[in-house]
Amino acid sequence: MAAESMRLDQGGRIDRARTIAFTFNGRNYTGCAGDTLASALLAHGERLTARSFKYHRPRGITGAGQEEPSSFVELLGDHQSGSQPITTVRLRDGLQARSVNCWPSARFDLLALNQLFARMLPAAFYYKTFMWPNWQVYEPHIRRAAGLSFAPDADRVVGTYETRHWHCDVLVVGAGPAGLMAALSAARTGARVLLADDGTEPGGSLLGRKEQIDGRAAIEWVNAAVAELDAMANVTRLSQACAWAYREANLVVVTERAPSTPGIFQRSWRVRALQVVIATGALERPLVFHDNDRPGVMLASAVQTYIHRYAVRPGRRAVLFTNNSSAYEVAADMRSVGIEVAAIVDARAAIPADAAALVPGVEILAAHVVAATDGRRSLTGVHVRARVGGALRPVDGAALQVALALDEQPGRAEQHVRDAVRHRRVEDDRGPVHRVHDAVAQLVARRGLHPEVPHRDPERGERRAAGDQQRGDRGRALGHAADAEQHDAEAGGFEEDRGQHLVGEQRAGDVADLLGDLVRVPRPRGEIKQRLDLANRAVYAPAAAHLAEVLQEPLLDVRHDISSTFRNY
Amino acid sequence: MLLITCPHCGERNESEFIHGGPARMRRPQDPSALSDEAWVDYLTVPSNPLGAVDEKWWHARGCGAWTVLRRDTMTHQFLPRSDDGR
Repeated sequence: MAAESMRLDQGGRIDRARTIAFTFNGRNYTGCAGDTLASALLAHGERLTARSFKYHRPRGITGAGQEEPSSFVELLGDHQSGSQPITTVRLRDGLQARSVNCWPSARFDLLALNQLFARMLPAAFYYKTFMWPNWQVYEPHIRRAAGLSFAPDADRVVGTYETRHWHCDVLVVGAGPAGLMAALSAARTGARVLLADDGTEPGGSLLGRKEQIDGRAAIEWVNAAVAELDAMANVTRLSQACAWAYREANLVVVTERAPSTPGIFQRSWRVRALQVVIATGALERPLVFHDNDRPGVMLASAVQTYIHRYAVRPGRRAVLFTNNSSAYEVAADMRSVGIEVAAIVDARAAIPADAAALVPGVEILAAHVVAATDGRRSLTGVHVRARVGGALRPVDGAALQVALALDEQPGRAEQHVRDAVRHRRVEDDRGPVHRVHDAVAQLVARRGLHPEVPHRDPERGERRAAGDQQRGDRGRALGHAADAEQHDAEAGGFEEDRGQHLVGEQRAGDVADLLGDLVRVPRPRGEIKQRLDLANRAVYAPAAAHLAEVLQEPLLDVRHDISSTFRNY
Repeated sequence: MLLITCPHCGERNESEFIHGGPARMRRPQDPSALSDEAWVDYLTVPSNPLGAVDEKWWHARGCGAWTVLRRDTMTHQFLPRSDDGR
């Protein structure tokens, strides 16, 4: 049993006194109560936890929650199930887990050989190549290689899945600061409230940050709010419950993954609500660069969560790659737990002084981007270049741990609403919808930071400036509750104001595309890629034109490798 | 899932109803006088406009009443109806 070398001595939402033994890929480990499988493995310094689907490239833990894109595990034993994000599996005694899509193990995977022949394995290679004498000869072998997890061989544990219809005055999705405050405000008026939260414990983003509310630690505020809610007869609170569909006439479908009723595996709630408050917060959107799937590359929000919630150092030495100021706070957090920050690579040309002041002595590379990474089974170095026209160069020392990118994208339910609006144009029949600022936005708002990337569309800019002024003032004056804004369906559908810091639909998309594309610079060894690009150039041309317009400056060569998407298979 | 107002029971889930097709579909007086194409059209090709439609709903898993409602096929909103639907 390896020691927990990366565990911090104090802090976190874990119980160090309660040790939990589990196995991962056949090896024995221990973790603490409150850990997820991901945090427990990170505490042991494990990096390589998965393999990519087609080429079996090494993959590690990238996120800290539902956003995890690459590490999936199959659970064995009593609770067999396939393809769970490693970051959402709660540790329990006797847990047995196995990485999907690798054999015999993630560390030594025979099919990783595919990487050697990657250039000879284009899309549809299998179908077109294995024709002679007939496909059936090869099919069993290829099918075996293609699946993710194996079909379970043990008997199922007995239990049922049930559906429950529910009616309420206010449905609040998300139990972060915004959701808790919204639920409290509604419940205190006597309204019948259902609060559904996806996390294992309430608090949302507050669990992963070092914040204060009302002059005390944020978690104390959360506990008080939850205690008040739980004491009210008109409030129903669900945890590990994901709101995943928002349908006509305020019907929201919520799946509760772990109901307390014995014998019920999952419960599907069909909630018909008079009003819906969406307080789902934001997921970080990764910046894109070559080989950004290397184990060791991690989202900034995940790093913060591992440090504060799970008391784990996800690495020892890091380079941060960002396009906004929130990474500087992350860098300060990392240094406070002994992670050396080798450099901050910032795509912006001008770094606000208050951001830089958070990390005295750290090298800041302004107007630079990460262009490539080194390492085989784990990240060992990063190459950066100037955003415009610079040569590639390694970061000093180059033993980096965490490269990361920050940008926000909406949570799942919110996205669903937007999709529904965009594709089915149903904005009018949903009844009142309130929009709540993301928790992060509020916290940032209270510090009085300003938007990093102003939108340059003049028309939208004006509208936004006016709205920001008004809403920002109100938000600051009234705190959380004021952030629950009446949504105005006429004024631009669901392109809501997400505060001064989280950008709205259009703006989030623009900024992300813009910066995402900016940093997707031509890869260093790229002849093959450019050939691949030809077929896809049409896809990118409009985006490029749009970017240039928004940026009002000449664009980089955006013949970036669309094939990096392919390689991610 | 739509929220449908039954004249007897009030607002109920769509799953309690069965859709009865467009209202005011007049059966031809003398089907045998129609051409085959026109008859097939009447039987199998209902109009499917984008916008307001009048349609019959049967509260089959409720009170059993038939009702005619006006619905916008673009927004799924139910609209007020002035006529009696016949």
